[in-house]
Amino acid sequence: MLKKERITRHVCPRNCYDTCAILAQVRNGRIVNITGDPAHGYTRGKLCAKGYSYLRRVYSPDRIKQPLRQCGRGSGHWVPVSWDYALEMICQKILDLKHRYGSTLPVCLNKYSGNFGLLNNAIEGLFNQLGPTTQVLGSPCWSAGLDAQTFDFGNNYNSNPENLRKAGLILLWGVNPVWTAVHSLPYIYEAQKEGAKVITIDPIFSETAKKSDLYFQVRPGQDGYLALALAKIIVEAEKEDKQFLQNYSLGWDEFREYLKSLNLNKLSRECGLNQQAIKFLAGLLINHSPVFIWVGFGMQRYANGGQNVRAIDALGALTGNLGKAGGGVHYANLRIWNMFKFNFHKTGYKNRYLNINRFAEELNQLQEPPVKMLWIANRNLFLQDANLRLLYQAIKEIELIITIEEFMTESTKYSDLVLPTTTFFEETDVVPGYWHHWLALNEQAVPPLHEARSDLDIALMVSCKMNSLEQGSCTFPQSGDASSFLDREFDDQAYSLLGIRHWSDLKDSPAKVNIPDVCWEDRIFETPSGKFEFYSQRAEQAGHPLMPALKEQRKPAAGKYDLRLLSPHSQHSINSQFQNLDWIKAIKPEPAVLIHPDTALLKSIVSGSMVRILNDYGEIVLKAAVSGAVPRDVLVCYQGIGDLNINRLLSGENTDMGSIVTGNHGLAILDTFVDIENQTD
Amino acid sequence: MKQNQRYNPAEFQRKFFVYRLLQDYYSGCLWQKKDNWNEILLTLAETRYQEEIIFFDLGMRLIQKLTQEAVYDFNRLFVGPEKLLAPPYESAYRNAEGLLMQKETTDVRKFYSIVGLSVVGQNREPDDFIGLELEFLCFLLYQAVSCFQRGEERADFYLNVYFEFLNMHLGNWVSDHCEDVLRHSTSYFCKGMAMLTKGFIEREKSLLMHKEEIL
Ligand code: SF4
Repeated sequence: MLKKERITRHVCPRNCYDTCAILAQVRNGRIVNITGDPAHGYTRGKLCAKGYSYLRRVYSPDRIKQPLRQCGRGSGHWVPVSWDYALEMICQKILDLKHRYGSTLPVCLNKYSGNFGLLNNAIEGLFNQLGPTTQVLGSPCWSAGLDAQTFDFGNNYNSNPENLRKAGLILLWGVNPVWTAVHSLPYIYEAQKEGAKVITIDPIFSETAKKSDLYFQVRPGQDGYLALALAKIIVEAEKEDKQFLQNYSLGWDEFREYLKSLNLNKLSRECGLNQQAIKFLAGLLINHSPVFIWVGFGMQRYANGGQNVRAIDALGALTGNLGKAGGGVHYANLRIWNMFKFNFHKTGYKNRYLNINRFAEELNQLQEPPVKMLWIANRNLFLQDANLRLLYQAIKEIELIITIEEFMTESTKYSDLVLPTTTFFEETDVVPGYWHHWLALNEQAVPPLHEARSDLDIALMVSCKMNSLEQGSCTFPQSGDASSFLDREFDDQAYSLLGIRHWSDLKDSPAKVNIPDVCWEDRIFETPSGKFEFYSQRAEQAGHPLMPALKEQRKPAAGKYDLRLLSPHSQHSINSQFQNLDWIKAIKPEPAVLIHPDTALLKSIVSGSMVRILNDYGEIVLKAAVSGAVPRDVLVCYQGIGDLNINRLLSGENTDMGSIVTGNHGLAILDTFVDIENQTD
Repeated sequence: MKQNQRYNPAEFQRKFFVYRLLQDYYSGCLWQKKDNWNEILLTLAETRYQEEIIFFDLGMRLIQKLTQEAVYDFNRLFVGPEKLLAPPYESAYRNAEGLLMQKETTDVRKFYSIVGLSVVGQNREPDDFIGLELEFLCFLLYQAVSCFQRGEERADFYLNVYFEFLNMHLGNWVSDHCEDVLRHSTSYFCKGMAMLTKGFIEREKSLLMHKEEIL
């Protein structure tokens, strides 16, 4: 047999800072190896452990290989069905509901961020062409921070993070890149080598904290207090950047007065750091320049999360770090996504949108018409949603639940029909990221395995079937392929930003997007005033204080559930993804809840004790690990702990902000209060 | 005990029948023959081996009833969507990585190509799916017999490939696979089919020593 070998380019489509470029070595139609793509200027030829495990995913014997129908939801009695049967089942149900209720509103889509490929959004496009449907709107992840930066800067841009290397001081504020954004580390280390100080601020003494020059343990969700305390000290020392404030900010006088009115004792108490420590940190901020502040997602997953981010933005502004190479306050970048128009998404129908973070509640309350068919795409809804008890209740009335998946998950368990989908090695797409400034192509390396179909193909097939059953019932295209859809998504503007003539040029190399290397360098902000806004009318119009405020944090009910449960991202999974792979299982530590030694003593818990964590929403039982890395009144349970579903404990409370950018407030995941009991008692 | 294995048309008919039965089973088509199941059992009983093959005979006793539970059990073992309890692929057993589409798969592909065969949907469906390996063996045996009947020398060639494939591939992993089924199956039917498969393939493998005398 003649050996035919080629190299194909790919991008990791996970909801991850790094959006790595990958090379696959394809021999006679099989992928035999994968590596990082050295042509990608940011990820530079390396992957994380999750990325290196991808072949385990493509060729796993456990992939879902054909459409499967469950005879009795939750029964585990599955039978394979043909695609035609599955499509018929779906489309007949849609038409039946449409005729019964006189509308397609009983048809509901719950989709989120499992795959960030552009064309992974095809199912949403399909739903938008069926008639008015019910869909979810918003994001559990990052909404509050996006709004906060929108109020302050006018948009969500970051500098090319390669600028980290030019920083004089790096504040890793609530972010754990050693685990969750490894490709930024070389830039951080480079700066460190050149003399920059690297400081981590986090409630948890994380792996990143361990590698930093200094670590400050802030009380969970009280980051805003620390930012304001620092601001107050710097302004009292008259070390603010007067020139910037005078020319490029709005509401400085008011903000300065506000800072004056704040009591340092209170700020210090609330943020959990003594004044000496805060003053020391303020001194570093004054004496080092530029200061690169990386704002993580964790601190905004609280009822006061948006305010935390606004306070840090203000700190970055008054120290004169905005618009400087190697400086600034960086949260996320929407510029790459904004290159695309999502043409296949457009709808002429008035959809009914449910808050993604109150899905179960709203689903339960919906009448006229109720939801009768639920389609889950790019999401493990039954593991990652909040208020799961209510969700189980709500689905009882639903006649058909469909999930598109690669593997069995908690959500497929509750589905009536499971549709097998391709991995990104079996489809063509581009994956816009939200951190670095590169765009890479995902080439199709191998044909779809088994009977798997891409999201786009599924959408096309459903449209065909709908129209064969009832002409005109779906206006989503019935033919075409990834190439024709990408042709429509890339316009001249995108090509000029990418410096290429056609998207297929990305087969030769990922492209650096020609957007400002340093955000806000011209100090022209996209706020209504064109300035950095300490004082934001837009915020007020949206029902928030004008200036970053000290919003009372959510507190546990007196005497009950007085421990806060933090569930940050783990090193070896992204939400619930990757956990099923044997390689990841082999390196992943056993699920455990971290508990402070003093709290452990009080509760007679030792490392290895089986403990029950509980509140009014649910409970989970797992091992305890006593650790000085966590505060006394906090338990830490990293995400992705297998079948143990931490989200069972979530109340579904929302964050303060989020509706401007994502349509709804975010999920205050970290405002979760619990008790812990030694299970062996 | 050395038996006379010389060409015996009834013996070959039996083998074809069993091969087809196993192929139908693994490709999930058997359920469609539910109404004819008793007939199939009768034919199977008629084709009993003269000597006792414990696994085969026991298996036959267990597969008397084709129930819906067996269908669910089958899907749980071999189809999904949950983690497969007994993946019906050679590479899942023999490859150190336990993945599909590995070297074992392409080795099997090479065998197919020796006689000019290839799998429809290559690189989509693993060539070493048990149903395909069974089909291939049945094909080789059929070709051997046909050539033999026509007095063609090529009969030996097919028979050689038959034993070589049995020895290098299916015969090498099917026992492990069947043991997985016996360990995890919750239905008499699937347990029975596993015994039948194991008994049958092991017997075929044992004939290797008498290869020269078979036709
Ligand atoms: S998970 Fe993140 S770091 Fe890992 S390969 Fe994917 S994009 Fe890169």
